Amino acid sequence: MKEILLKNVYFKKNGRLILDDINLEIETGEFVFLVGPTGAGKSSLLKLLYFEEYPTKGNMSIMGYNAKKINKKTMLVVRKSLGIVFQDLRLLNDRTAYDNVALPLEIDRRHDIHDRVHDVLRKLGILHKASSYAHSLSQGERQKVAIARALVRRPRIFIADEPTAHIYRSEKEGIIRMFMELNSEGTTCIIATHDNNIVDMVPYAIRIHIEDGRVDYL
Amino acid sequence: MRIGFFFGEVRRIYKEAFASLVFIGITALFLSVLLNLFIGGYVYTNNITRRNSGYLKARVYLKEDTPHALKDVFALMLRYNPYVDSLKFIDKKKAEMEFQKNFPEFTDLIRLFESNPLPENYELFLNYKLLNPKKLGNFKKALLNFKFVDEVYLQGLFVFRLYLLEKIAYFLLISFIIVFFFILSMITRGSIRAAVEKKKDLIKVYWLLGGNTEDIIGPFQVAGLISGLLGSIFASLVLYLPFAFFTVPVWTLGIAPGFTMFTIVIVVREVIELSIN
Repeated sequence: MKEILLKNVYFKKNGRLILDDINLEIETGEFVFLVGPTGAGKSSLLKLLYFEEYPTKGNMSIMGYNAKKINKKTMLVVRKSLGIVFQDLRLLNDRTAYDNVALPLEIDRRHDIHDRVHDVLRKLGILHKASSYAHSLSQGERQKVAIARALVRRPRIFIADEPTAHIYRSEKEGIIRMFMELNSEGTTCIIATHDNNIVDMVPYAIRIHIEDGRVDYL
Repeated sequence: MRIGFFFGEVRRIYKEAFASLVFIGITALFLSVLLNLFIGGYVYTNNITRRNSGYLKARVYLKEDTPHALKDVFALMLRYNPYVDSLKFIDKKKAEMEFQKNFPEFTDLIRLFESNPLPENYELFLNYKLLNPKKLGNFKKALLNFKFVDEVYLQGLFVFRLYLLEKIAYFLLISFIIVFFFILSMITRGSIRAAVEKKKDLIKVYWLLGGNTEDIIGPFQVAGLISGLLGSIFASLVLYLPFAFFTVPVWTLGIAPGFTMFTIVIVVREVIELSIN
């Protein structure tokens, strides 16, 4: 089944063409790396996938929902199926790490918040920082909190924009292993990065190269 | 959504909005005092006018030997006249008593006459709200057109000036209330916009993580309702002062809290929807 389908998608922002005739098909359960230099259009492509931006032209469907026809209610359903690590992390600085990670579960009105949040924080090795405010964490810890927030929902599609940018090399492998574990449970993983080291850690991953807003399968 | 989380949000919004509370408090006090002045002015002039309205009277003196039947028809006509609130027939005997009461030093003067010289008359209590000096002049002329009417005297014309003052006070009060609510909604909009601006990250993240509009707006609206309630209770207490001294229906006190809370709920929705889109 096609989880993500982009057909002749163009995306313009402030008069500048950022994505140029993108054709992309991602099947359910695939592990995909979007690679390419800074400013190639990786982040913009991810923003289209979680509906922060919309294609200027072309067809896009996520989980079978067409971006042009999707209504507010359906969009919320789709977003609740996504786990997103934003490039700028978007943590809430006036909250603790625990509160940040619990936010998606609060939105879902779940009752097992405590167990899930503790579980994911433990796996990422930052359980001892649970009660620290986000603004007091190091950049690496903040990144881990952002990853935890995306994973805690056990999403159907995991989207991450440079998820290991601020993480020590020694810890990167552990985090990628977590992504692989998630993927093995059926989650579609789409990770944008320009770090070839982490790409090499997942031999079965599909690599999509983006440059100047155009896509090449490697 | 967990109740704790919901009220946690309300608490956070309050914490951030606290800084602007002093400003809002001072403005509210200033506006309340101004509103008081206008309400007080209106109520005061209204009371004076009402207290003196009984003084707008017309005395219609009848000629001697006016037949009874004619007097009865005339009384009936006057009763149906919209300018006349009520009327009292003063016969010769009553007129004498009135004269003795008002001019006790001239009581002996009447006894010089063979018969009571004081004319029968009608005392008319007029509706000052339907009249003005010009209409009153025409009314007097119309009364004098009756052949059996000897003279018409008017009393208490100053009530027109009072009524004019009352109308000016009322106009000023209504104008100020409109301006007051306009200013109030501007202040509310500004302070909520500031609070929302501070919460922009939360709203955006919440939205991207699949939170619906109601979940996002809810805590702001609850905070708004509480602010509206507290603010309006305070304003109502200040407003109570003129009400304590003058007679005004108590239910009017409910207008300010209701309107304030309603305004806040509307403004919150508008501002947050603007922020999301």
